[in-house]
Amino acid sequence: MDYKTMSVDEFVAGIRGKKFTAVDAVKTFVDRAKKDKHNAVLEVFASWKDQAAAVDAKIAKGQAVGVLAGVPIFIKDNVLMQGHRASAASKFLENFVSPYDSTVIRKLKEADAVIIGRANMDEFALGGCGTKSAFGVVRNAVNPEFVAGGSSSGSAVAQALGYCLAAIGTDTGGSIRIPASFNGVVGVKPSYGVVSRYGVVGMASGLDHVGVFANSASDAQIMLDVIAGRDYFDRTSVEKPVIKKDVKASSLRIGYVKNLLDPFIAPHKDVYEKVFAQFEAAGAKRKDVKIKDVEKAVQAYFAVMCGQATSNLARYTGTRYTQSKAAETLEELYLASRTEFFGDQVKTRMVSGSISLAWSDGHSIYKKGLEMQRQFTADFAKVFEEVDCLLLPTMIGPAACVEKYYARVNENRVFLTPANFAHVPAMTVPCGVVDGLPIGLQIICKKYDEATMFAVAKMFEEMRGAK
Amino acid sequence: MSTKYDVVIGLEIHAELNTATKIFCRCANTAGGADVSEPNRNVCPTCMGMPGALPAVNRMAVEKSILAGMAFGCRINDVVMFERKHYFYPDLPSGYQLTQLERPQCLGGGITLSTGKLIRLNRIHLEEDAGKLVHDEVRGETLVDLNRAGTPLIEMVTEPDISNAAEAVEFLEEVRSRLVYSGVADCKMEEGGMRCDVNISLKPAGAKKFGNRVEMKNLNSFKMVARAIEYETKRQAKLLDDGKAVAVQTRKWNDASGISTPMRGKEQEVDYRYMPDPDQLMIRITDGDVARIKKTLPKLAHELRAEFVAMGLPEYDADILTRDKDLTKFFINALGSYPSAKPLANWIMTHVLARATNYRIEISPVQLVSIIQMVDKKDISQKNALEIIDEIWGTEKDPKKVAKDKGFTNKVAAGEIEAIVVELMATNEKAVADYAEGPDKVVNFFMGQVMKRTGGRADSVVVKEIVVEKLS
Repeated sequence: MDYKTMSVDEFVAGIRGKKFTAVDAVKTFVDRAKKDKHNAVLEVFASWKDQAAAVDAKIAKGQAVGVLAGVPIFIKDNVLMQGHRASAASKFLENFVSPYDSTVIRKLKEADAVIIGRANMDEFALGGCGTKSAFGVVRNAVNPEFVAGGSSSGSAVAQALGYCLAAIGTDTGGSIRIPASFNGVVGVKPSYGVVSRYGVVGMASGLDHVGVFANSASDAQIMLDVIAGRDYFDRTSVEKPVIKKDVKASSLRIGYVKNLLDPFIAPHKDVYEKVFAQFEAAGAKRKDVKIKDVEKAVQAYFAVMCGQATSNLARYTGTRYTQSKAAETLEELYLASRTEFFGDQVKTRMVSGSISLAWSDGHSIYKKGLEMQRQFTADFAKVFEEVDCLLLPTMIGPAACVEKYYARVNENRVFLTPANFAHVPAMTVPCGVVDGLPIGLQIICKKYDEATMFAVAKMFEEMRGAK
Repeated sequence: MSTKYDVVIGLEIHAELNTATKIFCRCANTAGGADVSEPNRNVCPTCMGMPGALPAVNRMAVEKSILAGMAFGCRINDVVMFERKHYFYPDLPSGYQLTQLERPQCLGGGITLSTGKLIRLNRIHLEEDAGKLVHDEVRGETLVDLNRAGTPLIEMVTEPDISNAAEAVEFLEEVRSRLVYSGVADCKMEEGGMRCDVNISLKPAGAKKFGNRVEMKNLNSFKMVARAIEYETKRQAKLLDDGKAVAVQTRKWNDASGISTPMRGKEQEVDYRYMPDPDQLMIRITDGDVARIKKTLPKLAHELRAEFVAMGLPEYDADILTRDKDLTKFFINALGSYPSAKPLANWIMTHVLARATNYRIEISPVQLVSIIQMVDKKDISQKNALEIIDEIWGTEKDPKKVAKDKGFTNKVAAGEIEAIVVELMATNEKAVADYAEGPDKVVNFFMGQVMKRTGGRADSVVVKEIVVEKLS
């Protein structure tokens, strides 16, 4: 039986209906993950078998099991699970074993999911390329010579290569959507606060979003439904919004972001034009819109992101988590440890962050960035008075080699960071193949309108003739 | 000191709030009586600054900071917001302290000293305390204890309105009194529950422009504050007299040697890179919240002092009875069942406080009132009463039972003695008439008669009191 092509619902039904056991089915995923050649996997948890056996035992006893019964899941290495390592792909946390469960893990466990391992990522989630892990470059699922995209590189590749049925990632400026589009899977970044950040290694607290990878929009929807919700331990979390509702194509207003798409001369523009044509053929109304000050917003985003990341990384000093450099004085200990255990990308961002946070007479670049975030969020919300969703490319083109990726990195930010800055939901769905590589369609909706976003994604999957 | 210079002093006072749990997690609070018998006993991912851990603000800590503001007549800010203040030190696990910079919880307010001078507060803000470093000399190691990390602290900052050590000490004593009476803090200085930094500068008398400011740290008692101010005033005056400039710096007070030494200068000032904490959202404090919290503000010492005077107590008594919150509470409780303020105050001030160390009264108001009532009824003598207080001190013993066990009340009741005396006086008119001439003889006669009639069971002291009272 090919479990990896099953939908989550089919898989859970099979386990509940005793067509196969969780242990047997999950083993097929584990076996593939153990043979990983893309450096997507940092560790397959030995505990997977006990977790799966516990689900089988419940079923054997006739007890109720959760909506993710037996579903094998990879987690990004910045998601904490009690008794298991979580390194955020940094030397600093190489030996760190979490003493507690993140809220996401707690909810997955309550739904009887089987967490089978931790996936590689860019160190501390800083990076969009998948090349910045302290534990090696992650290779693209389709073409191993190309980048996987990041920072949730391993999660996306694990999903694409069938190491799991769903994966957890985080997205602070595109870190779920980039690798999802590069590896041809669905990636969802919900509205800010929909999923608790408690127990997820913080990068930029006000921009960090926990989200999911899946094979389809409906699988992603099931996953988000499980992990979403207000959490006592995360005071920025919110009540779970409506995740599922019916939307008719004929009542849908789709937004074409003129000021982003017109100057963008993509060789693949026709792919997106076709998407619009398909929606219009189904009765949706296309409307041209403009996102105000989007270039300025990207710069402000960068100041805020680097500032928050620098602050969150202040706790790694060499006095804890076993990683420490011997030194004569405390200051030397900090300096030596931080020099040794942080990677280049992290250091670069901390230089930017320190400049952003530099405080003088009550002013800082960071503070200005926050003001711009408030303004941009308000302006962006107005766009959704005219349309129900924005349809955009996720990335300008498919995965490439490292040099080509970096050549377009700033252009790509314009498509990715607005959703983080304005805290609105965004997801990517595979929408075509260019030069043998997948590309993604990005769907952005207004804050907490996850329901429309999923409905549009499912509508598109049907149009595209996908499963 | 000469009047050549004006001394300008401002204080920064930290007090630990006595909430049950810490400010951003549910761990027990050291300042709220948590068990700290071993290091790192009351810790969790949040107060240890673990990766992924987040702050969840303790509403009680916010409300207690607001209560503190109300005790000083501050304006209450309508939002709660925390900033991160960054610096590296091993007792600060996340690399930043959560504090309030731009939106302090309380603004303005102040205290009027006994001289009538107003000392204004600039602000009171809420923040978290850090942990402690423990130096193991034997092994040459430094260890971190995070029991105290996350203890809610308020920082009170005054305007530079204080002019000398005496004013500083009076101000600090009143601050402590108000924080303790409002129930927000215990202010145990010896345990670090209240700490104080002093900012001090001198300027030519009458000058508008402030002189260079020196911050004094490591002041662990009011006495040290006074000594440090006196020392620093002289040091700065000498520099100015000699035509030298006072360096802007932070100095550490060494109480043993009685001098201050420089810690760091202005050029070493650090940029704390303040930023609003992105891990939490602003919370709104409504007018309704403020009204509700205000209702829970207990009466403060100066208000109770006025009430006691209005009740007829001399100012001196009222002052003593409001020097300690437990003492005040004891007096008020006892007053409930023994509403004669002055006699009660006398009992407490002369007999109870004489036995208490640091106002630790180890009998209950119920026990004390029971003893006083026995004396009033003449069931026991004053001397018996003091013996009973000693006997029951630190115990829950019933004074009546103690009196009986000790045989103080096994004796004939005062009322019975009185009846016998009246009867004897009626039948011994001559002896009564002789009283003026030879009182001792007559008293002894009647006492002998009473003892005879009661078979020696009467308390001779009580008998004598009654006989004398009836005859004179």
